[in-house]
Amino acid sequence: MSSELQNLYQRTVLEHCRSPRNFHAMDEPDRVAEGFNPLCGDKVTVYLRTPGKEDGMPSLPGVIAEISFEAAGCAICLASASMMTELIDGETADQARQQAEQVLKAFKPGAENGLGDLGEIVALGSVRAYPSRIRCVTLPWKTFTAALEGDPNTVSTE
Amino acid sequence: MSSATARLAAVREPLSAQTLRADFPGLATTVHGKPLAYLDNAASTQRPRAVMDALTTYEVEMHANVHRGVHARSDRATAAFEGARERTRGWLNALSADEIVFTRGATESINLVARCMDGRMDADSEIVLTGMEHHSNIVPWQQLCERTGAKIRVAPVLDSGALDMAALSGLIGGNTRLVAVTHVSNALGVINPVAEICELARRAGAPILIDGAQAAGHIPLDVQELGCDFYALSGHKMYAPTGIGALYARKPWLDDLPPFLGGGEMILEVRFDGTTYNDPPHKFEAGTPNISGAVGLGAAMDYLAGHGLERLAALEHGLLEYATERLQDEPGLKIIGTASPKSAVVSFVIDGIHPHDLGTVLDHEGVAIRAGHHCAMPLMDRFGVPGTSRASFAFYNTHEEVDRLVAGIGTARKLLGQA
Repeated sequence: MSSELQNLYQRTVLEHCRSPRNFHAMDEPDRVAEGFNPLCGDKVTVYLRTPGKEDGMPSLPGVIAEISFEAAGCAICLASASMMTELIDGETADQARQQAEQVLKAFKPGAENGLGDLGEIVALGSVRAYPSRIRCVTLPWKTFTAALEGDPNTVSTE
Repeated sequence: MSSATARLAAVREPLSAQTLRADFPGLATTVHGKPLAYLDNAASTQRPRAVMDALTTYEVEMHANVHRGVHARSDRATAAFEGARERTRGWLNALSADEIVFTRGATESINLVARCMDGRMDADSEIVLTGMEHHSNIVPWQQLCERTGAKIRVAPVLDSGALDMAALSGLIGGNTRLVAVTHVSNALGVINPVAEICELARRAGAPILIDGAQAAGHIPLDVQELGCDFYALSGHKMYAPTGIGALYARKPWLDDLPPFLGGGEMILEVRFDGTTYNDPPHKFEAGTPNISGAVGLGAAMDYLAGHGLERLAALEHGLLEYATERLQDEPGLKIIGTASPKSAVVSFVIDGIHPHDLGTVLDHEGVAIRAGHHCAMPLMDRFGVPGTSRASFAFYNTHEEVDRLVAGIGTARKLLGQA
């Protein structure tokens, strides 16, 4: 088995894939968004609880008090979503937004690997060498961003 | 030995994948340091040297625009282009070369028909499709329905992957204005009884289009015997270049249908107070065509005919049987599409391993397969899966490559923790 493959499917990645964290629907979430990868059919739903809101749909939620997801996807996609929920849970919305931007930027074609201090998600850095799999990492993050911004449309990787 | 004698000698020799592989330079390459096992032939086939040589000869000795020059190269280019049309006529056994329209591929062939059918559809019209169609044989008809108010009726697919012929028969009736069916399912490999379906359409007085993208390089064809009105094919799925394909249409259709795109080539006379269209097939070929692509398509057909399509198909059938046998023994692996007859395509899912992850692991073993929905999302929904892994074979594949596919599945299990 090649070392590249073992690097791609690291223990951390597989562990998240086998027992994804926060992998469930949420009753009455404050925000929810769906993401879809039309190339492979992967689907992700991200649920957020953002208390401190003054009405039903605040323009700027303060804190991500709870985040969960449901997904039908590959190991990379599930691991990315699971790691994302662990990283973002409890962050302020601003911090979470910045983290999402940092991840999405790091996976742009030709970008520097700017994952530096982002915890376990760093284990997915080697996916950057697989152009056909980058969307598997970014789909949950794009979906989270859409949930945060209250985007009612299904997010697409395309 | 004269070249004719050499050819005869070659034909007498029993065919083997090993000797045929030598004709395909693309197969003799490595991926991630491993010899390439190319099992993605339903997506696109590799090109034989004969096709590459034909393109080079065309570029060096013939290229000019067709049908308009008064110089020698234009005459040669025209002869090569029209020669390819005649070759394609022979491939399909059409009555006349005028029934062959060159297109960019099967997708454009189907769109051409759909775009020219507006005047024949109204709110009572029905277009009958099947649940196993490629998106390219769904979306153009949905667009036609949006423009005209016609409705789509879908014949279901059985658990085996076979078409529900009883249901299809019930759907084709007095309101049917078109039947569009794939010859071979790209996602499952199942071969539809197209002659029988043509007969159903004929009895209802409805025209029928067959999407032959997955069939034309693997199954001997005779459109007259089939009795279809339209047959669509793609060059790159039958060892020819990308960007070339053909539409066969019975002559009366080409006479009656309005032109597709407007421009040069498709006209006889243009005035601001009115334009006279050219005769078919040129009426449907606006602009300078893909001349070299057509030459490549003709060369690919020559290559296949030189070896005998039946003999090549027999090699592919051997691969299908061997791959089916090996894969169905794998624990937790389910083959989707078990009906017979089948083209050399095996689509499968494995418990706990996503097709994309399997595809990446196999790629590292040098084995190229397709993972995903195969542009047949309704069919994936029918079987309740987001996608499948698909190994699709050509005559140049070997049983050893099937073994490598199976070994690669073992590697994926080990890596992804399913051992």
